[in-house]
Amino acid sequence: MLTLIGVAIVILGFALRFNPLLVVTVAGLATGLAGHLSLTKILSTFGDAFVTNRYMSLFILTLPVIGLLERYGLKEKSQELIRKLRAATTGRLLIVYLFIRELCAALGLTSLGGHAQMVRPLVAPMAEGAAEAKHGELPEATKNKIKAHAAAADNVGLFFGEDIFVAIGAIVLMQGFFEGQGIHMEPLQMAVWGIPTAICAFLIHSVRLLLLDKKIKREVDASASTTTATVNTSAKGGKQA
Amino acid sequence: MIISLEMVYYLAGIFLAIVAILSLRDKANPKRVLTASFWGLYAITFAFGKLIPSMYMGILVIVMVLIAGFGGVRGGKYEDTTTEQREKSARKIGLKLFIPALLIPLVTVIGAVWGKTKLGGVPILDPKNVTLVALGVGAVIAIIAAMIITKEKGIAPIKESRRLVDAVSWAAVLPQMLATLGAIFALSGVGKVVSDLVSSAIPVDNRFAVVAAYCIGMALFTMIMGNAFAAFPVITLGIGLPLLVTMHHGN
Repeated sequence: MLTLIGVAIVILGFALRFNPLLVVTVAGLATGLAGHLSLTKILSTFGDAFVTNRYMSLFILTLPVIGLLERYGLKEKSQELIRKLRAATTGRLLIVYLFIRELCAALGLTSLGGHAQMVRPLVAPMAEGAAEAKHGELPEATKNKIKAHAAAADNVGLFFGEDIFVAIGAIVLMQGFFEGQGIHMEPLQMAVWGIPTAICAFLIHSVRLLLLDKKIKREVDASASTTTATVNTSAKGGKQA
Repeated sequence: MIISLEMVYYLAGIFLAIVAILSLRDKANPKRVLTASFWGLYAITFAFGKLIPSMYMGILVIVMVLIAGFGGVRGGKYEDTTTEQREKSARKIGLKLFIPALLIPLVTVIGAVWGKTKLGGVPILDPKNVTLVALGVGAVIAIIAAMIITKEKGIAPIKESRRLVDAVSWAAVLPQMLATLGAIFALSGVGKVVSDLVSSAIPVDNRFAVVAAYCIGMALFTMIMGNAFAAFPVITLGIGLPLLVTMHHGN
């Protein structure tokens, strides 16, 4: 039971925003000691596992390509392409973005998109703009909800789409893990079974995004009637005065 | 095999070593020695992973974590292009910009499917790691394509990637560290503790209950750990393998 201390350290450490690398290392040391492993064994396991799992960081080999292309305008070109899609409402715009994000992730293009590169500068403002074009001025809470949904679409698309790409860290982790347990699995098998889940995720989240449009309309109407009531009261008050 | 996984690791090691040297020379970074040491040690783990004994590698990893944990890994100054320059270039090169980017997944999939074919009796790609080696090959082909399309030469791509590498920073190592944590969890029997807890809580004979426990447990644990990488080993070891695979003959 004491070995669960590692889990506790991870939960607390992440919740208190300590450096994740430090948290994980301390958790590992604590768990190892709680499990009566010698310090030598713990260090050797650290070294062994780290080397065995080098494949997880092979994405860095794609950084020179992406860096070079970005220097020559890759992001600007992709933004131009997205701008040409005439999606009329917030919900539909985010569904398109969800689709693109999920598809690109499934093809391994996990760098196309992302919170810093695309959601904040482009997708969120466009989603807000689409709602403003339809409903006029938006209440602050609604604006924040739209921004939150823009970010969520990115998360959902990436998370469920990337499990279809055979070389993604998650699939490679699973393969390595099962390998360590004596079960051999091909990444392609795991990737194929990611497809039904990804399709379900897309459909379910798309429904949520369509409902978002209705929610926006409700919130705008609600806030409009409160404003009208305030205006009427002050107008009446003015007349009386 | 003609191209092995170890070769891809050497490539990664060389790349990181160049990043380390460039970081060392970047006087705009106040912590350039520490930053360079971090990337240099990381390069060593890639290139000499199989040659250095596990215990020393473990100490090396802990040193890396200490450097990163106490703020030693910083970015420096880069000669960036302006937005106008990039927009002009995007219009000039057009859709060809996407070709190198798309080559990476394309070559990876082609390699994964056909990489085991033999050339002169020897498989082209490491048959035990076709996908990963294909990714490495894809990255190399893509960088050559990118250099042709953008007409950049020499070490420019690596200088460009430094900006991205510094943006990702020590977080690049996090998936590996989480997997390492999983290994320690496994060795310390955390999986058994969890599976014992679950077995006492749910009816193990009911296949639906076990599947539900696996899925919900995985989701909850992912939310707790903030990362599916960390949850996966624990929940699969605790519920997935003993109850689903072994007991219920899950495939």
